[in-house]
Amino acid sequence: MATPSIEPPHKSWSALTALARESRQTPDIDVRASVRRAIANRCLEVPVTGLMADLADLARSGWFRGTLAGLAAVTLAVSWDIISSSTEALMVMDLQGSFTSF
Amino acid sequence: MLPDGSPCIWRALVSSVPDPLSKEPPFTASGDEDLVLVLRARSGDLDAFDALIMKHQPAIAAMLHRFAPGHSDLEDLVQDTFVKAWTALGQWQPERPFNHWLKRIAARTGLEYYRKRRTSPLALSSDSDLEHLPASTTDAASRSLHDVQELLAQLPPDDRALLTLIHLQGLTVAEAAEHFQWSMANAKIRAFRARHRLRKLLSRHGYSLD
Repeated sequence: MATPSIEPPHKSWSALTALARESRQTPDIDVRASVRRAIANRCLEVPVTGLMADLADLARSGWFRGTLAGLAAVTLAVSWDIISSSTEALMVMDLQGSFTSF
Repeated sequence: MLPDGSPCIWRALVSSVPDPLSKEPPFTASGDEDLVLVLRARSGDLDAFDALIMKHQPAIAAMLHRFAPGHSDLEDLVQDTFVKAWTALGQWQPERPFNHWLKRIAARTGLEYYRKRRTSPLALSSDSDLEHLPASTTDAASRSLHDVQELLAQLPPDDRALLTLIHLQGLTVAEAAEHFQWSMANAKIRAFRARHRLRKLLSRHGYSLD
């Protein structure tokens, strides 16, 4: 009398996947309308992205960068003058303060 | 934005008006037909893109059905694939078949789907994903597909996507690498690790990988 095997029966993964590949039953779907809607929704975002693209183009243009650099130089020069003037004014105030204290 | 980078609303409206003088060139082959339709779609012709969808939708749905058996998820994936294709139409190289390019987009969409969902094994109920099919279609093949998907759902998303392409779509590792835009070495390593995990998983469920 043969002893029954205690090992569980092995199922074949290859056979299972081969059978699964034969499954040709795909649900009927038609995404034309939903794709159109999705594309239309994307189109509505164009004004914002267009504005950002224009700003990015502007930032990349040479004349814009040159103008910005010029403005920065003028601002620095004016600030330097203001600082120098302020320092002189403070010195004068200090001197006046020393005269008035006597 | 249109695939060629121009604003789309105006162009799409203009192109939706049929031009009585325009004549479509005669189609010599499927590839030529795709090329003509893509060129028209690139200029904003949504009817041409509809024609592309009609032509390639069954193949893309069949492929993505391996990734998502549920009807609503499958529909979302197919829609995502075609919307991505619309925005990337300018990148398609006519020397390569359009359906191959589309399938690559579909595969990456499937991979993203797995990464986003990270479905737990319990999330795939035994019958809910087959409910969309009529009773006569839930045959042995469909049941096997469901069983395979249920087992693969227990693997990490990248492994699951890779093994779906290899075991259910019947692609080679090289083809899967191309679909996911992975290097060959990267794909081989991933496939090796994925098979290792799959082997352990299958042994727990009484399957042999051979």
